[in-house]
Amino acid sequence: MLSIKNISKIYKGSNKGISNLSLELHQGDICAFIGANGAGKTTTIKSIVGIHPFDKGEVTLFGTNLQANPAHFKSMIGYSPDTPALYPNMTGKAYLELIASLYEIDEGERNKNLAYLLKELTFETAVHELISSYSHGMKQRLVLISLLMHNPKLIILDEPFVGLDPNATRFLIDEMKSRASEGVIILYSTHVLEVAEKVCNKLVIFHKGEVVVNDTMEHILQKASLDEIFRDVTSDD
Amino acid sequence: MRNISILLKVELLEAVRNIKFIWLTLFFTLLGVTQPLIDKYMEVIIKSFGGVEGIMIDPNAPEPQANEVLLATFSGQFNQIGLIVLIISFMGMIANEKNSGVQGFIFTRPVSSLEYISSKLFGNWLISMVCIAIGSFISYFYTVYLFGYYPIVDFFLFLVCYSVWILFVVSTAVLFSTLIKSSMFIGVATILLSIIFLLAGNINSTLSLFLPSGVLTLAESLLLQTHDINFLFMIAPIVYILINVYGAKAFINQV
Repeated sequence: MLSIKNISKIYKGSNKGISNLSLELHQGDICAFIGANGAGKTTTIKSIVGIHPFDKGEVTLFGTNLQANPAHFKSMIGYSPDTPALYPNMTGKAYLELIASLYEIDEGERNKNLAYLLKELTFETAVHELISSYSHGMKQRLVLISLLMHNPKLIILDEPFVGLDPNATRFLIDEMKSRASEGVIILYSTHVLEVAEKVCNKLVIFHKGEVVVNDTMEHILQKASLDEIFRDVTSDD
Repeated sequence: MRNISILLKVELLEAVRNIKFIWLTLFFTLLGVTQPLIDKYMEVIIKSFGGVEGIMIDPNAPEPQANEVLLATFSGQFNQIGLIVLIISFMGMIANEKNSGVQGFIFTRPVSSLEYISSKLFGNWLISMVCIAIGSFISYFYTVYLFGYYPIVDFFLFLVCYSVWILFVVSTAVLFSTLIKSSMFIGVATILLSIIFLLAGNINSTLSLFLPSGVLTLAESLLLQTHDINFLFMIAPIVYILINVYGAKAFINQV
């Protein structure tokens, strides 16, 4: 289970950030973070993955506290940022080997997973090229391969569909469903409400650094359409 | 330890791909051969430029010994222009990764801030020392050829002490990298602090015991084979390096 208790993160020199955010996700949950730009989605994600240390609160994953045991916590997650930052002078293969070494993935498992992911994301040729020659979509695909390679228990994706071609998008949606059915927790931020409606069983709506909706998709859709609810809770009137 | 060696390998590969190993080695080789050539052929050089009025070279002045020339190479070339260029070569090691987002991405992996800092420290120190060592040994052979024999083991011991000073300089750049965003300002701050320590170390040897540059006093004693060799000079730089590393760890502000 992923448990987020009262985390707050306010950026220095501004009053922007997130305050007192709490959330619980269970095995098999697929949860979408939606909200306007600057609502706090990415800040929350970066706090969970350990990029932004939060001011207060705690995050635990299957009983492991992020601040008390960051290495073990991070070994259980797979994260894709909104803008992939990679070593430009490396080939995709060298990058994947680096990530595999950091996660201490067994060579047999690594080769098996890599063969599957490279084939599904049609990356078998591109993986031998330099990252500096990749387009945004190719970098996204490389990051997806790197985060799925070690079979994480929690997958966190920040706007994962931006820049992906239809085939890669289809693969990612199928993979999210398939991994969730195996007990993996999936959390992702998006602006594409239609996909969230079809894929997720949980939804969190952010507005000005606070969670204004945190419920199951089933409950939410009983009241109105996702689009209507989003407009309703994020309007300032 | 395992993650340090993985990230250190990345650092070395980046240096190979950026041809840093080549240009930095060429630079230190050039610096290394300059001093013995100047010391040996100053009169010829001045004459070939038509002579400069007013300059007189004492014809009875004794020719410097090999170890004196080597010392001049390090104190006059490597620790001045060499140090500045060396710092410029690694001043962006952390800031560039921080600004591009690579550092944040690394910290989402099971890598601790201490492992990351250590890989930067030892990676850049190793790159620097390989380039300096190649330049130094070419300088050594040139000096021995021109000025006479000097034991290579003693020169190697000198180089080991000098490498501790370089480790301190890299650790200072690492510390400033966690405090300052701009690579240029990191470079300027590191150069200024290193020069201050170098100048302060020349004031007296007791003060040197408490400065990281004190290790250069020890290196000098080893090179000149004096009888006042004091290995206590090793303590201060090690303490300063540890302070820099743990300071950087505190300032990097990472879970």
